[in-house]
Amino acid sequence: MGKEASVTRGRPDITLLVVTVILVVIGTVMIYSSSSIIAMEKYGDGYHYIKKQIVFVLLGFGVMTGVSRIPYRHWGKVAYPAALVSVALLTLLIIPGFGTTVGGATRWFRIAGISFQVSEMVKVALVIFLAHYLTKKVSRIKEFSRVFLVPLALLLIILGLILRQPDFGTAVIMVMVFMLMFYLAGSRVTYLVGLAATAIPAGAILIMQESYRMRRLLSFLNPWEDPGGTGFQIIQSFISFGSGGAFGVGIGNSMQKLFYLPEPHTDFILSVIAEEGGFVGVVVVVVLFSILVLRGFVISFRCDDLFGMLLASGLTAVIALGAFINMAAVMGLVPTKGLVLPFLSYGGTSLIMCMMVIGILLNISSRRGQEETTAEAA
Amino acid sequence: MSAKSRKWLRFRVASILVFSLVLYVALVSRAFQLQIVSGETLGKLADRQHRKSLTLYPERRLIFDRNGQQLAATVMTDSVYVDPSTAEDRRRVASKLSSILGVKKEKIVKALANEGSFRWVARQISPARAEGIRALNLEGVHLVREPKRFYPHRELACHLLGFAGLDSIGLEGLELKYDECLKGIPKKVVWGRDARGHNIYLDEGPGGAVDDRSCSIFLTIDSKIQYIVESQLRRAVEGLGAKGGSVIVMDPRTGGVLAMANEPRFNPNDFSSYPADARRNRAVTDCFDPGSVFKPFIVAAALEEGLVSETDVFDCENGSYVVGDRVIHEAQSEKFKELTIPEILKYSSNIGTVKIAERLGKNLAHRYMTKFGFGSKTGVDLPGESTGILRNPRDWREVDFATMAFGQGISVTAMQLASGMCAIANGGVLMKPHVVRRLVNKEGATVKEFEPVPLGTVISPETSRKITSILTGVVEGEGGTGKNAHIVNLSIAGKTGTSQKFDFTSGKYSAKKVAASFMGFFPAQDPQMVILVVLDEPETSRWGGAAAAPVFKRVTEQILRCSNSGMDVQDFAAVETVGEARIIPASTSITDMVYPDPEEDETVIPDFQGMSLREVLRMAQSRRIEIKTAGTGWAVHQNPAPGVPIEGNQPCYVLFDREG
Repeated sequence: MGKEASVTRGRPDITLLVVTVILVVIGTVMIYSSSSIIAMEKYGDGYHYIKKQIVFVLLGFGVMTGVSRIPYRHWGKVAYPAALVSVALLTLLIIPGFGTTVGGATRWFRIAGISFQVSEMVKVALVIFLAHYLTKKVSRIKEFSRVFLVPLALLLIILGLILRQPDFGTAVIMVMVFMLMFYLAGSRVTYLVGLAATAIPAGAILIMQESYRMRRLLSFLNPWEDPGGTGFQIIQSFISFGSGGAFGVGIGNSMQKLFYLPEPHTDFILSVIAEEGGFVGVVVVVVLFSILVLRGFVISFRCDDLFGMLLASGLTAVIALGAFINMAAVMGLVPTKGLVLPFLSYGGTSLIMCMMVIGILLNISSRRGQEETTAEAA
Repeated sequence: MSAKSRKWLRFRVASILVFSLVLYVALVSRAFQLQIVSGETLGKLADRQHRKSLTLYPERRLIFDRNGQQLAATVMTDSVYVDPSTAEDRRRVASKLSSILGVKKEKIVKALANEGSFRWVARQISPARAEGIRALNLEGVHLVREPKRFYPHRELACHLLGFAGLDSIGLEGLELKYDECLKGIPKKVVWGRDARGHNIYLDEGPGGAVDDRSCSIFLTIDSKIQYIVESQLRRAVEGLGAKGGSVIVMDPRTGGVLAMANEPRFNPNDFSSYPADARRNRAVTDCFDPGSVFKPFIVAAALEEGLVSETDVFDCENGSYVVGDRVIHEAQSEKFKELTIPEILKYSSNIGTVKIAERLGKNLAHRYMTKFGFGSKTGVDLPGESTGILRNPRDWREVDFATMAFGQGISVTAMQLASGMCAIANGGVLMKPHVVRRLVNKEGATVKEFEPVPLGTVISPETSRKITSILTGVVEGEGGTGKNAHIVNLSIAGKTGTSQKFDFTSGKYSAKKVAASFMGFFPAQDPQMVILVVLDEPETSRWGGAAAAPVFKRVTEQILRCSNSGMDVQDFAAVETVGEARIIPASTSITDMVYPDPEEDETVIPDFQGMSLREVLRMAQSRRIEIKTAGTGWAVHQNPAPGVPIEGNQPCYVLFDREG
């Protein structure tokens, strides 16, 4: 009877689901297009990456379906354990011998041939924790020591650990999501401004400490100064975009994926889309993300309880920011970060966590305004 | 949650949403800027790194003389280029290449320091060097087969042929005029390249089958006559200390050029080491005042118009005739009293010709000059032709018109003179001179045949016969100015000419600098060849009759000997070498044997014929030949014959004779 009620009284957001499916399909096709030659070169098997990605896609849809059936209120219960597990795993990563290092960054655990990127999970865990914590403390939201201090401490610990990997990009997203959720919960703007005022100089110091970050920043400001060296990646990305023009060179015909673009199937997948699909292809992708983000915030907007709203907004923001920063980076609007494009880039952890986010959002969308259904299901 | 706080919460969610969408709009704008606004520029950068292309020129077609003798051929040579992106150890590669090619090491190091994947190091190298490079098998050093233009007979017909440079581009002469036809359509090969330098084949565009419409050309030139003309011209220019000269041999019936030679000449295989002056085809590019050779045209016009008849007698004023403010004299201070028209031409009387011209009148004279082709291009299929200068009759003063009658104050090219003479010889029709007879495609089929083109009738056949007979008297008559061109048993019509050159520095006609010429045709009863000889500033003998007529005679004699004895004339083709390798051009006819040119080859007996004693001795000394002489004058006979290899101390007997 309760099940029937949930189906009839609250339908999950079909638009969100459709957009997600389209993005995943585009991603799968483009991962094959961009990775096959690299896979051939590296593993002697052009299907190496796509075979793994298809497994991740199936797994992702499984996770999404499963999660969409879990009433979102349950996530409150795992808020503290999730925060603890995040800190524990991040700590484990910096202990030599546990993590797997790729390209100078230790971001993965490798168990039985499957890589797991911790920070992808931590982003979601942070949102769940903050949504739960802020819902409980909402009445005293304006008090600095009672409400602001504990999450700030957790954030700083996580940031410290993430920066050890190092993963400056994820750290930036964490800070922004953190501020966004406090803003939504009604925190004093002065705290947030204060946080920003501290974070920006801290970030500047971090950039100047690491020579590669400084180089990235300088090459971002003027990539053409050294087109063969530091500016190489971003210029190759520009060339991909320009080469694609309005309508693209056709799916599969990218020349830039032939070792001109670094990581064409992960970080620079949008560049391959831009070359093969042209401006039209890029607009389609940006519009799909816009719809996804719009639906995510609409779900939050329509949700009746604070936890659901904060959860929906926070999770949407994780995807929205991840997508924006990646796309802005490959177009030279922000410095390159080493962040993947949600749904489209190759990578198991990222895809599965994104699908999980969609699952949670679908659940929130199907239960809006159904106080008793929620209670019943819980 | 209170309604008010919920409202605020929703406001904040909405604000974040709007902020996010603004960011996404920014992304689209940026993509628009990159892909649409800067798309073209970035696309070009993309093409530059993705595409490699090479233009392949089809093998340049050949040039043959009228008998199928190859005059311009194409041989395949090797060229060396380096690929700096794959070359290892620049210094080692450079020093190895340098030792084989003889190219400076620094130059190769510099080529290797370039970006990209293609830099020429040396082009069209010898087979031995190519073999050396191939044996080294160096990474990043490549050889490509490239066609090189090759002129097997060296200087022969050099001004006609012109030359083609690197990449088989015609730069001068027929190579330039018929460049499109000879070179065919270049093919552009494009392929892709990945970031690691591997080549990828792009499946685009129509690749292989390009319509090859290139043609070989067959000339009207007879290389035997051409050779005779060139060697005689050279001998005359050297013997007389002339600055240069031109000879044209034409078939008056068709307008086909059988030979065209100039001095100084050049070797088109090595064209860049000659001054531009030597490369100019002065027979078509240079103008000069023709002098007395121009008189027959005036006489022909007057006869045609019926204004004079052969028996008319003109008072030649005893050597001085006042026209306007000037006194006209005869050449060499001759004084004539009364002369008939044949006598006027025979003795080349200036005053007589002026009087004939006066009967003709300015306008008719101008009309006939135009009809004979003076003052406009003849239309010969050679580049750089001049029009000459024929002013408007309204601008002629009396004295201008008078001097023009004997060829001073009108400027013509040798080509115009020869083609005008053809019209007199062939019964009165001006033919368009041409050098190319037909175009033949790859399969050997004739694509185009150039038929003789009549440009108009100038005089009647009757007038033609009259003037021919008069001109025969110039050569054969007692005391005729053209007697030095006389050949026993051959009826030759001709006219001598000696014109003062206009000195641009002093603005006057120079008494010392002259152009000596002879223009004639034979046999007079059925003209088959018109020959024009022009010698520029001969030093030792300045009169057309003395300097140019003997050249005409020797050329005619040798042509006759050549045609009387059929094909047994030994071919004279010099053998040219490419690099160190000797290449024998493939002959198109089996009877065409390749003999070394006795003029060039130092190991054989030279052809002494026509040389003075002093010249014979000088040449003999340079080749260490012992000479035994008999008689005086010019060499007329020798033993052993020219072309025989020099053996030890065997002497060469040379007979000299005054009569030549």
